[in-house]
Order: sequence, then C-alpha cells, then structure tokens
Amino acid sequence: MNLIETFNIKKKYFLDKVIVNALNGVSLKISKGDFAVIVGPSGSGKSTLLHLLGALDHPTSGAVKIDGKIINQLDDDQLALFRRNKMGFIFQAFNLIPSLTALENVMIPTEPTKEPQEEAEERAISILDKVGLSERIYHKPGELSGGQRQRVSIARSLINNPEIIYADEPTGNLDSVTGEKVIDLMRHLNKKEKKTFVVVTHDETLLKFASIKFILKDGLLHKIHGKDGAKKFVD
Amino acid sequence: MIKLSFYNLLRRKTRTALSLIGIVIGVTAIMSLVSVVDGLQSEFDTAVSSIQAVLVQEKGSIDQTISFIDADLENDLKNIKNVRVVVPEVWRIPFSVEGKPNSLSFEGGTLAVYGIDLIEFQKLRNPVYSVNIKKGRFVKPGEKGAVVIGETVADRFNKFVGNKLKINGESFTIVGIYVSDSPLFETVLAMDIGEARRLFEFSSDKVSSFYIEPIRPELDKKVRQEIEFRFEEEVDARTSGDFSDTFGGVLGNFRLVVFFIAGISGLVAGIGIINTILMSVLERRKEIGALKAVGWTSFEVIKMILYESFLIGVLGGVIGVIFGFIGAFLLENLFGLTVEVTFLLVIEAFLFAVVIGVLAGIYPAMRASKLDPVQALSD
Repeated sequence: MNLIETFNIKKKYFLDKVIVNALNGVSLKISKGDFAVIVGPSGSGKSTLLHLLGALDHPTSGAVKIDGKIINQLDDDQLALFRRNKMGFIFQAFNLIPSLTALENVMIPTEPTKEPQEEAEERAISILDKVGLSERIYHKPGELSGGQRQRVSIARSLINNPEIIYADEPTGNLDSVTGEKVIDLMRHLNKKEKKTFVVVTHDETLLKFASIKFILKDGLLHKIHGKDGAKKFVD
Repeated sequence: MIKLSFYNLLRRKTRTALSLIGIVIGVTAIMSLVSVVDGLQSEFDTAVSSIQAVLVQEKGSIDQTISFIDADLENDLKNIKNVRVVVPEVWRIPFSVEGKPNSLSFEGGTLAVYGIDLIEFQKLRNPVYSVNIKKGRFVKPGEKGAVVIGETVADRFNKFVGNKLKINGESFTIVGIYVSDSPLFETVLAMDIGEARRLFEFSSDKVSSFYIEPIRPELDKKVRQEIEFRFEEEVDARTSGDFSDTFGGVLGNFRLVVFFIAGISGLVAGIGIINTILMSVLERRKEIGALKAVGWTSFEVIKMILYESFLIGVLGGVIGVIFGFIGAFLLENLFGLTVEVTFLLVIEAFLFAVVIGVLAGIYPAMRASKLDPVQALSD
C-alpha cells in the first residue's frame, strides 16, 4: 500500500522578484515500511519536496496524498494536527530547545495533547533508552555531543508514535562515523518498529541504506534502480 | 506548557529581570500612592461618621470659613420640625499662628478658628470637640482669651494646658486639649463665638454657619430637605453623609488620576515587555518553526508566548505588591502620611500587572504564531 503518494507536484516561489521553479512535476510512491532516500545536490529542491511530503507546505499544483488523505485542502491547524499524529521530523540542525533536558525535549510534541504527563514521560524514557540515551535523559542539549543530540531529535520524532519519519540531512552536522551510527539507528527503527523513513540528503553514501532510492535534479525526481548508486539512475 | 514558558524566561534572565523591574515600579507606585488616597478617604469616613447633623451655610460657598449668613436665621431654623438644637458658628482662617503664616505653621493642614455659641453648644447630645477633651476643660460661654486646641497642634507647637497660643498676633490661653478620631478635625482652634467675632471683626448680626442636631440622628435628611425647601435662596444645607459623598466623589476621581499617573510607568513597562518577548520570538524562529513542524498549532504557540508575558506580569505583580507595602509603610513612617492598603488595592495593583503582562504578550504571540515553519526552519 502506498503510504505517501504525490501526483505531478510543482512548487514555485519568489526569490525577491525572480520566480524559482523548485519542483517541476514530481510524482512518487513510497510504501509503508520503506526506507526512502532522496539524494540531490544543494538547490535541487530536496528540502522543498520534504516540506511538501511533510505537510509543512502546499504545492503550487499537483497533489500530495498521505495515508489515503489528500492534504492539499487542509488548513494550517489541520495540517499541524495531521503532522502531530502521523509524522515525525529530524532536522539537520536538531532544533532542540536548549533550556530543556533531553527528556523534556522528547516530550515537546506531546505538550499540546491531552495525554497525562506521566504516561508521556514513561514513553519518552523508554524511547530514549531505545536510542541509547538512557544515561543522558536529564542532560541539556548543550551537554550532549552532536550524535547524541541527533538521537534526542530522533527520539522526539518517535514520541507520538507516527507512521512516517522525515529526516532532512540528518547527518549533515555530524562526522561520518557518528553519522553512520545515526543512520544505523534509523534503519533499526525502520526494521524493528516498522516505521517508514523518508531521508533527503546530498550525501550519496546514504543510498546504500535505502530500500527505495530517488535522485532529484533540477526539480525533477528520478527513481534509482539497482544497487550501484546514483550514477546509473533510470527514469 | 507553563513550565516551558517559565524556562524560556529563565533563558534570558537579564532581560526578564529588566522587564520585571519596569512592572514592579509601576505596581509599587500604584500601591504606595493610592494607599495615601485611600488613607485620606478612610480618615474622612471615620471623621464624618462621628457626626450626624445638618450643616447650614451660605448658598454656593465651598466651606464654612468663607460663608456669611444672617444670624437671625437661628430662630427660623429652630422652628423647623424635628430640629433639636441650632448652634451658631463663626469659622475663619487666621493668617498667622504662633507668628508664622498659617499655611506654613502646621503640616497637618490649615488651622481654622471655630467660634461657637457655647450656650447652644452645651445642649448638643454629641458635641464633637468637648466630649473628647483630653486635658483641661472646654471653653465656657462668654469666656474671653481662652482657646481649646487639638492634640496634634499642641504636640506640634509643644503646648500644654495653661500655655499661650498666638492667633493673628493675639495671645490666647489654652484651657483644654482635645483628641479626635481623625487628624482632620484636630486642626480646629475652638473658642467662644464672641471672641472669634472680635478677632476677625466679624459682624454680630452674621454667622458663618449653623450646626443643627435633629431630634433623632436618622432624621438628618428630613431636616435638610425642610431647610432647603424653606431657605433655598439663602443657604445650602448638607448632612454629614452628603459631605462624605461629595468628598468621596472627589477622592474617587483623585484616586483614578493617581492610579493612572502611577500606571503610566506600568504602561511603559508593558512596552518593554513587548520588546523583550518580540526579540526572543525572533531569536527563537527556528525553535518555534520546529514546534510547529512537530505538530503545535498556531494557538498553542500563542499560548506559550502569552504564558511567558503572563508570568512576567504575575511575578512583577507579586514583587510589586511586596514593594508597595514597603512603600506605603515608608510614606507613613517617614512622611507621616496616613495610608491604608486595602485588599481591593492589592488586587487592583496585582491585576494591573497581570493585564499589562498579558496585553504585552499579544502582539509577539501573534507574530510567533504566524511564523511559517518552512521559512523559519530554512533560515
């Protein structure tokens, strides 16, 4: 079953007075349980695509369908609720709140929900344990290494038990060894917890972890078949 | 969420402290200044509640010390139904006391000479000044060169019974010292009406006012109506309750003005808070973008920011109220002002801070809620 589907989405925006065609008609299908990696050079429209898939933005034309629901028509608040329940986000810059502990950061998405604090906390602790941070739950981001911070943000993306997790350059701020460990963790969660991952990155080495691969160039998406990387993509 | 907002304030301690100072000053100013007005009001209420009488004075004169009416009116007033006693009075402000200009001689207020028809005065059931004699005695009918003064005046001039007091350059023997519930009443220098007439060259067929005691206290309004009906052209009649209402109304306006002036510093503080919170919103663009990405609605972002400014208001209110108590205490003890910190005042000053806080948060909160997560995150 296709969990994520787009139909010929285009996205234009204004940069000062110039129209930028970030996406020129992208159609893709990602199934439940996939570990999708979308690579592309900077400026290729990766982040734009991720924002559209992640219900953070509306396409100029075309449609985005997630879990059977076309999300174009939802207003901002409906989109927020949709994101809260269906998806988690991992950012390159982590975007953790510096004054809160790892545990509190993980619980942030549950803050507006009616769930009792204790339950959320229990869940957050077990998730932090899963990402290997059980010793660090009361540390603040400033007291954690880059890899650990990204693990906190992975834990945060899992707290509301979403089906899809989007990651925007998750290894971008990490050295290669740490970055690989973070990807290993994501892959593990993908397999064990059956979470669908969509990773956008400029780092083609991440393609080796993918169950489904794409390359984005000049606003057009190409599916990559076979194991030998981005060089030999087939339209 | 309130915990998160609290942490957010702690992240920028100096800025939070600075916005707090502003609001604390506002609340402190309101509390200490309004407590003086409330003190005045309560003092006055105590003072007038001890009298239940009707005061008759010249039509249109603001008080007795400039009033001038026919002494003949006494008999007409006595014939009014329910009137028990009519006391003719002469009230004037001396230009000097103890050789000093009157306005400077006594910080408790301007001293007034009260010349009384003592024969009639002695018939009163509740003669305000004589019943509260603390030392010595009251003036006798027709007694010459004698004066009775209030305790605060005696203390101020360091006088005892038997000493002399100079009024308009003339020496009077202090025969008694009275006390009153209220310092407002202790500025009166009481003497025989004849002596007051002589001292101020006050015509013998005139008086300043009549103090009328009804047969029963609760009949004061009836007596007043009757007098107004019969002598409408010549006099104003007022009950002590009327005085209280008039004075209370004036004080009420005054209180509002004081509240407003003191509140200006609070408004300035509010602008400071807007600035503080707005800056912090702009600094936290990415963070707020991330909150929205993980599913916070605009309303929830607004709530978080409003909690921050609300907390500044509450904290500023609490600290301001504490400083307000200290301010009122200092005004009372250093400047000798009568202050009264009512529960209502505490609530008003506190709510003022909270309202300023919340209002100041609205604009930054709206700005934060309108942040586009895509833009905020890609900055």
